[in-house]
Amino acid sequence: MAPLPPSADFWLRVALFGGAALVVGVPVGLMLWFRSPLHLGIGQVVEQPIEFDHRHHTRDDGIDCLYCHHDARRSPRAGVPSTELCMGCHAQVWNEGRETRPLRASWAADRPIRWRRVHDAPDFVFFDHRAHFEGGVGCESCHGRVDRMAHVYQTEASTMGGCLECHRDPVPHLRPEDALTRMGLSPSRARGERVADRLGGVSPPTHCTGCHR
Amino acid sequence: MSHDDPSWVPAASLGRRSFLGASAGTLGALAAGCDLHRPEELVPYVRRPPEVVPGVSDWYATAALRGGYAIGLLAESREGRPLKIEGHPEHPMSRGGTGPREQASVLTLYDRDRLEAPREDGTARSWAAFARSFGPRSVRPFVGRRGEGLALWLPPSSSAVLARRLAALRERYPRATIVFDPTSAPTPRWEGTRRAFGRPLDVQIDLARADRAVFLDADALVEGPAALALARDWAHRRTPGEGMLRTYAFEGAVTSTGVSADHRLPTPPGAIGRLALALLAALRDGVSPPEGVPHAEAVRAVARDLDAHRGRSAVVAGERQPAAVHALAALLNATLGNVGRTVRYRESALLEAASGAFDPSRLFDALDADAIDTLVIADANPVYAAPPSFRFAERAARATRTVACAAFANETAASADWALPSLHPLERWGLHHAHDGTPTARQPLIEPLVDGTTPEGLIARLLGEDPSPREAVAAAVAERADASLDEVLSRGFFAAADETVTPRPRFDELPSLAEEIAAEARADDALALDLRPDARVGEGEDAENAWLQELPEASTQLVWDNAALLAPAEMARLGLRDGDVVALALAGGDASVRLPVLGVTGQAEGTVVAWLGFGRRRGGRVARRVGVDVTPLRTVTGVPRVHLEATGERRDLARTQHHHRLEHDEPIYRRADLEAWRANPRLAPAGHETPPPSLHEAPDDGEPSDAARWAMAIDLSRCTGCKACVIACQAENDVPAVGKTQVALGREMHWLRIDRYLTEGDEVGFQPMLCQHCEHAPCEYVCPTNATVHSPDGLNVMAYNRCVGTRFCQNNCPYHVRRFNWFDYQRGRPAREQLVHNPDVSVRGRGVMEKCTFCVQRIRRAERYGEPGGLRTACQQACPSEAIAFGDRSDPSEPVSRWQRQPRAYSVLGELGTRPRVQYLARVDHPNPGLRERDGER
Repeated sequence: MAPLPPSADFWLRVALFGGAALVVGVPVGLMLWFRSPLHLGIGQVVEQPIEFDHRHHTRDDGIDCLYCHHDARRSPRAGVPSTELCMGCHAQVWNEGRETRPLRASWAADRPIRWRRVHDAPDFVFFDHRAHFEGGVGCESCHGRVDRMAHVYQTEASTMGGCLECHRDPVPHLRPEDALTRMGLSPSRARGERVADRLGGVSPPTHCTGCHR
Repeated sequence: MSHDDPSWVPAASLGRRSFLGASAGTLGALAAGCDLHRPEELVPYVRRPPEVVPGVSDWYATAALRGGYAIGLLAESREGRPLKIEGHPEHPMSRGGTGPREQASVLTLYDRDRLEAPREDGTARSWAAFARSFGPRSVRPFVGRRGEGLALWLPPSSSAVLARRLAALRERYPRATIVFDPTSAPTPRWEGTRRAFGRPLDVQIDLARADRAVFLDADALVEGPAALALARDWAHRRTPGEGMLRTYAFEGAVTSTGVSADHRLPTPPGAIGRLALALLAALRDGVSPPEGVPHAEAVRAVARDLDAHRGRSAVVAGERQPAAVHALAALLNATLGNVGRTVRYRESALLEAASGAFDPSRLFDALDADAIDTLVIADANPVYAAPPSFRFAERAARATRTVACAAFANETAASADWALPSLHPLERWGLHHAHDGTPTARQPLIEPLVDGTTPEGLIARLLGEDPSPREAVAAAVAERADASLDEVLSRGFFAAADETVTPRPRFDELPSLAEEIAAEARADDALALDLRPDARVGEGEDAENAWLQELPEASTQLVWDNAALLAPAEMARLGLRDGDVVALALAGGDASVRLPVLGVTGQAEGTVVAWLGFGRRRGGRVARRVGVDVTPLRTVTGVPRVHLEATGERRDLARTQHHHRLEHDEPIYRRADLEAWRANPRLAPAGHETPPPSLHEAPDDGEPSDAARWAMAIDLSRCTGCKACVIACQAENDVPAVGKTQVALGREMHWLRIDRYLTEGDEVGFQPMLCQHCEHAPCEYVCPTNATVHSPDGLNVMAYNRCVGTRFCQNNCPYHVRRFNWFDYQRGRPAREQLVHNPDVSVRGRGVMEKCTFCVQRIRRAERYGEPGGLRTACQQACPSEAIAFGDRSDPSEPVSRWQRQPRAYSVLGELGTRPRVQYLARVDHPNPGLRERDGER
């Protein structure tokens, strides 16, 4: 039997180091992938049935978030406005034209508009808009500068780490009631403490059943 | 889901080809993996109803029916879909409690097998087609003949709208025949009161004012239209000490009422009459006692006890006892001076009660004479459920055409020419009357999911009218109440005038009653057959409901089946074992039925008990082929007698009795007599007078002092074992039904079960068992992924998304309350069936452990927003006898704290040091010291 060829040493090293790299690299790669903005959907635009522009409605027209998403004050869900609510204005303004055609079609045919979800918490998470609102957390903290978005996209990772970061130290993110829907307010501990005092203290849950039931 | 539904059963074998195929498919899916990000849809309303807030529940008052009588309910609606049923706290016949069947009704609403549209001979047709062949303008025989040839078969009803429609029908078609199904009506009670008082009456028992009650083969705390109110009153009189109620139950079968009684004396159903007569003889001069009275000694003691409590006692006769027993019970109450005090009588709230409409013989004669051209059967299934002596199927076939209105394609609908979908109770309008006469409104919670109708609507169609059902209810309300329809609907009911009567007893009937009773005493070797509507599926009406089919039956813990129940001594004598198939043949008849036997400790010897409602041949996929149809043995009145013969065959029965057995040193189910409790209020077993010392830290350690400490207390004195809590838990927490084969493997998913114990003297005791939320929880120590942990407020919680399914926790739980999802029980259901899921709870997938959460979704909601009516768990809210207290133990004024401070409170398996947050209050009975059948502490 011939001795091993001189290159055997090289190939053995390749196999050893390569194997080790695989064993370490694959899990690390997967972990990085699951934390990457691409996987989390951050910054990704979702095609919608209507080219709805939040910039135009909030900045140009000065419509408050709650005018359309008024359930945020009384329900776990912020809600998407009904066709009727849209038509409240668009029967008068922009009542013709390409952009609002699907809206009018929905109204005429009594068929709902099928929007596509941008912020999609997993089904085992029970997020409560009303609780956050009453606790002094504004829209911007999770949804970002919607007033600057042509198409809405996610700005924060909807991961448990992201939630817990704020739940463990909510104070900088608290706002007075009249600023809940205001955009462009940067976190401030001093302001948050005043809000927390007024609310009689804020203690968001950090245990499992706070969000998982 | 039926037990033979293959959708969730794994493929028996995976061949090489299918394996490669599946692998290729998986790889393909991975390659196209970006599909994982396909966004969900958000679909808002076009026009939003003003009262709907998506994500927030509304509650509406409505009603359920028991035997035609109304029970007030509150139904939860979320975005227009009914989710959960609760009792109406103000309604006198519910008082906030419900039974398992009311709780389970939401599941039937969404069932995929409901009849969707009218069918003619099995082909789908439109209502217009039905109107063409049945409308008043169509040329049909009965129109010209003032209704001759038209017949209606209806269930007993208290519907005010139906009363108006029937009046209109009679005006148009005076010769039409209208029959109310006599087998599901309280006809023996009406006949009995007619003989005792001269007129047919309904009986109202008031256990709040009675000190002694005798149940003669009556499962009054669970069965019937007044049971929820009775159970509540009974429970309030079970607090140990002065003023305790004492109940005696004489019964053949082992019922919840008997098990809950202070004295339960097994008595064959055919001997109840003699027993009642003996009681009367002991209490009244000039009545001679009959021969062969069972428990003669006890009867004398009971009579003495009743004699000492004249005017404060009650005698209750069971629904299936013959009229003579009801008459004797009425005369007993009259003798004891109870009438008008603890026992009140009123005209029945059912339409045309005790009239000829409950006698089908005229209809049968007409059918036999081929004089009926149109037979309409609404909301009844007589082809399956009627006694064989009616020969219903055969007679119905003689009608020129039959129309059946049914929720499912049941036996009657399948044999009818036209099958019309019947609406679910939660889709209906109505104004019905409760057992005490309270007019109770029923409003729909949802637009009908099927193109169906109701008996009232069907009659309107026959008259060629199509009025809105809401208008019909409004008209009926306007006749009876000053309030507007909206006011009535929002409260759910309105008070009715007190219509109780004080009838004059007719003791001159006694000789003929005694004669009848004596004639019943027969000395043959046949067994008395106690055919009972099943407590879960009724006479088959609820056989479509998988939650009810999988609810363990109270006396046997049997699921998805029925059986012939025998006393164990009787079985030993006959050489039978559980599961042996026997043939039951009607004595003096040729009907015979083969079904498996099951021994039930405590059942009277000489008695066979069997439940109706099983062995359905047609209907939805859940109902069919479950158990055995015993209606061939059904008789119209009296107690049938049967001969029993072994066949040598066996049948597997799925029972949960021996699942989840607790290993223990100290007694798990504690009960004692009042005297023993007075001597030793802690009722601790000898040697355990003080709690064992703990090596662990102080209880409640490690919790923030301002957090709540959720805890529960269950009073075993008050639990009747009715299992409303089990179904309430199932509905609230999306607990799946898994089917007979899975239950047989011990894989039932109930978070809350009712354990059945035999205590000393072979007496039965029921104990609700759920996660005990131990402060030192054995499950938590062994979880490798921290999926089960403690919350700061003392809940033992499950994070489903962390669970990898090792089942270590299940193995380490001494209470056996953890349930593992062996399959994706909820996957693959049609969208409509998924609507029943509670949106506040995660639907668990395969490979995940689950268990009672103390309804954490309700706790969290109540903490933040408060809960109208107070925070209650689903089981607590459903309980008719208020046996469950739940709340924050850190508040000493909470009921749960007061209950847990009682000396008779104990922890099950407390010796293990788990420090459960659930405590039980030992059952304390109030036996008659003069009835020395049992002694002291058991």
